Amino acid sequence: MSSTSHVSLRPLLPGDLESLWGARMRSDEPWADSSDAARRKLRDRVANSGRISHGELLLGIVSDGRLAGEIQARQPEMGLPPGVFEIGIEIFDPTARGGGIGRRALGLFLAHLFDEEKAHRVQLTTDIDNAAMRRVAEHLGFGFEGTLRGFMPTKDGPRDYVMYGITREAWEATR
Amino acid sequence: MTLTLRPYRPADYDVVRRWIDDPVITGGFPTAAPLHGDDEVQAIVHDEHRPNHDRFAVVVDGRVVGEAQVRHSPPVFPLRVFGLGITIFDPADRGNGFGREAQRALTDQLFREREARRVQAETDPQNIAERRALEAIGFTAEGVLRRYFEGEGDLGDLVMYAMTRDEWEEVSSGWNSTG
Repeated sequence: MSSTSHVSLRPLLPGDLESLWGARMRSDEPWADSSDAARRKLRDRVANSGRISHGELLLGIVSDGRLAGEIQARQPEMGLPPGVFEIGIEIFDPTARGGGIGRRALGLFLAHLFDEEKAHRVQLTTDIDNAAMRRVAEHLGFGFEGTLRGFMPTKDGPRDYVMYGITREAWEATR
Repeated sequence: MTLTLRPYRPADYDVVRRWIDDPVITGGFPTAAPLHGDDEVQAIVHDEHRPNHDRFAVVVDGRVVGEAQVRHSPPVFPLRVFGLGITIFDPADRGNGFGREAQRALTDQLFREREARRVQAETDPQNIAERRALEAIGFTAEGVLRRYFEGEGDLGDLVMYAMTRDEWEEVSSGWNSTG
């Protein structure tokens, strides 16, 4: 399945809410929040999916016709300058990770950000030990830019994260 | 020198207005536009509608010389990670260590009063004065973010500096003498 599945991106729909919520509740991340307020916030994000809203462009990742994850470009006001986006990606089924879904979704999303959203830089951060994510980033042409010490809170304490960036010039050179 | 950071007051608005409306800084563009009124200045300095950004007046010996800014927009800034920025308004006030002392005061405040785990400061790699100031306080350069701002070649790059809570606990014991 991994090498032949068809991957595409589309706006999230109200019917996706249960899949998204379920994936979030299975997550062991310390910020997984099961409150009603969090559920309302997720519903609002789904309602705004497909367009930049509240500093975020959120899309669903579809693999072989099924919702397989979500991908976001963040540009919070006063957080990043115009033309700079930070990508976050979540694949629901961990056994599908490394199966190329993330890599293909990220490639499609990069093309969208550079071609449609006038990005001049796209960045992502990931745990220093997340070898799969780092390989995907490097494969797509992201450059390693530095280690952000103690950046991310986790249940085991703050973790070092690595910063990857890709400029418009580097992106165009890979096409 | 006594340097403090405090919220803006209406009496500061003339100073703020002078610098945001300065044609030298803004390239002459607003000369045909009305200057910022008190309401607009107030909305800017109190970051109305911007819950993830704070500004403070930098006061030296009773005079407002600049502005300190704090950014903490999630998820680009995770919980208890803050970004700081300092602007010294008048070029005549630069080179006196005001920027460095404001960086130090703000860093201390973020670790002490807002339970920061990590404080970041991002600057132009060519801005040697600010880099020296950050290094003197105890910040470490972690990397260069390329093309953070629009610009030709390596213009627009940004060097990421940071101090962790452990580092602050170590270096700040020597800060009391400087206030």
